[in-house]
Amino acid sequence: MHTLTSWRALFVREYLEHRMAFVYFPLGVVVLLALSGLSALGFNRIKLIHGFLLPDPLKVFELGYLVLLALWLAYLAFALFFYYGDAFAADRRNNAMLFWKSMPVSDFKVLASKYFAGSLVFPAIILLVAMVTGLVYFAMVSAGAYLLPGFALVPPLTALGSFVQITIFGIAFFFLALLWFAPFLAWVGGLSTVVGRWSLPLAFVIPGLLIVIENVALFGYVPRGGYVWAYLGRRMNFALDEADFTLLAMDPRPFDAWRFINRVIVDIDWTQMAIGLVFAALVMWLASEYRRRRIV
Amino acid sequence: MTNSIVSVRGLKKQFGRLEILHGLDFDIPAGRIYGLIGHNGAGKTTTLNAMLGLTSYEGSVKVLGEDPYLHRARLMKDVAFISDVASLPRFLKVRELFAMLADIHPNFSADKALSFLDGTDVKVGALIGNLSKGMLAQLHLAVVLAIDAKLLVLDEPTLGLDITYRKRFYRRVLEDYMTAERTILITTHQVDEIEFMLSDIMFIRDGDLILHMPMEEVGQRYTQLVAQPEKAEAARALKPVFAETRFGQTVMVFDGADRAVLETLGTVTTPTLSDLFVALMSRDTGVN
Repeated sequence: MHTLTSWRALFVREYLEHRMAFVYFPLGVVVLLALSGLSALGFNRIKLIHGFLLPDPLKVFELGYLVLLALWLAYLAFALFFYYGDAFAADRRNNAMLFWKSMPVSDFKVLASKYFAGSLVFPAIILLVAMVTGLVYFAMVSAGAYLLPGFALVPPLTALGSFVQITIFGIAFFFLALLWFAPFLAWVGGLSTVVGRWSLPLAFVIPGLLIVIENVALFGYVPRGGYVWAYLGRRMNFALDEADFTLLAMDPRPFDAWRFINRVIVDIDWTQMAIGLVFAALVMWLASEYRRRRIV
Repeated sequence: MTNSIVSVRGLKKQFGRLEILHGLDFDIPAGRIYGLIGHNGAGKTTTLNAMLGLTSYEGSVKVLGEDPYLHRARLMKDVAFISDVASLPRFLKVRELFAMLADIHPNFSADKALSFLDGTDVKVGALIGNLSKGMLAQLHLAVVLAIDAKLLVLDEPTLGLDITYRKRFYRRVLEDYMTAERTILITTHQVDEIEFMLSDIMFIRDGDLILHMPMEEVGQRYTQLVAQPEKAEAARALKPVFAETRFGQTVMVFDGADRAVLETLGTVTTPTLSDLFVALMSRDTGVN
């Protein structure tokens, strides 16, 4: 029982320390979005661009919600990069290292709590915010349908079905993307444990140096850019392909989460996924051993 | 000793090529209040850090039967310490800190911590980052006293505080000691302020333990003499461990000298802890 409560305490601590980036700012964006939508409706500033066929309103909602999810995922990626570059050195920077060392939690557990806060707690919060954004967007689409002639209202149950399907897909995609990028996040966090915020540039500079050294050392007898560059290029690629986007836009059927989740799963290199997770765990362990030896 | 809370054997610590601790041996029995006194850089904090599992070392250190470096997290259930009162997380409110500690520490009582804050200026809704240094010290003390720990370690806990806060701080520590079964280890430079509460004293000089004894033995073993001017040379012949001239008077400190003999040479008293500290820490040059 105590183990669970101590995990909870560590997650709450991360939440309290970083709620600005993962709660207040996103909610502020949602409020701004809602207000701008309300003002557009209130002042009747909505118009259809001539030349486009009047789209199916359900498709407008689905594509809009998917775009919003993608934008929130992009925000999450950006915020997590800075979170991992900052949080792992926060105790040293805030002079709080000795306080946390006086608590009955190991350095590994402290770092693990930071890692999991970044890869589970904060993404879950951003997903909730994204869902709220989706509902706000649905309200705006419905209001638009009400105001614009020839733009049919989406039946609420149909919209709810699409909302649930897209949300399920969003959860699966967020989760798999975080698993795929786990080694990169751990790399930034591990570096941060050692060099603080310098980890942010160094996370790119160190691989860049490796690429240059490889190219120089092998006198260019490597594939274009080198093996490291090619590997990292593959490693940084995680998304639906062009055909999927075409399917998303053109398919008249309501969005089917399982179909797209399946496409994402099929495209994943699971061996690389496993290697990445082992690398992430190893980096976290090394970082905790380094932290164990630090008191300031 | 079988009832030792802390048992240290051959404790050495090196930073690079520089050896800071030269093989310390000591035991701290349960239920005592120890003062660890030394100059800046003498090795006090390094000794404490080794005991708290905060640094690696050579030799053997057992705290409550555990190796602190290997099992720091487990040990911290029964050990509370203040190494720096400015180390409390500044982004939390006092209330949030207590709630978090109640979750994270199995032996922490939020109610007890709140009761320790009664009568102080620290409000539970206050942001820790906005508290003054004195308030931070009071809050940190409330936190560690609210932990039902067997060993309480205070490393310069009142550094930078004014005399009012310092006295209040140590009174609180002593009150708690009277009601709880604790062993307390304190390091400070303000030795006079903690002398009244110590049961044992350890002096550390340049990484060596030069004095380790119960306070009652200090009075029996060490004697301070303000020598009559005409008898100063006779007193010097008895080989004091320290001698100096203060306001025209020759003051000497003797180790194990016969009090009756010294009383024929001037005014005899028991040296205060700070007098003894000065005497033993400057032993090489003092007599000269």
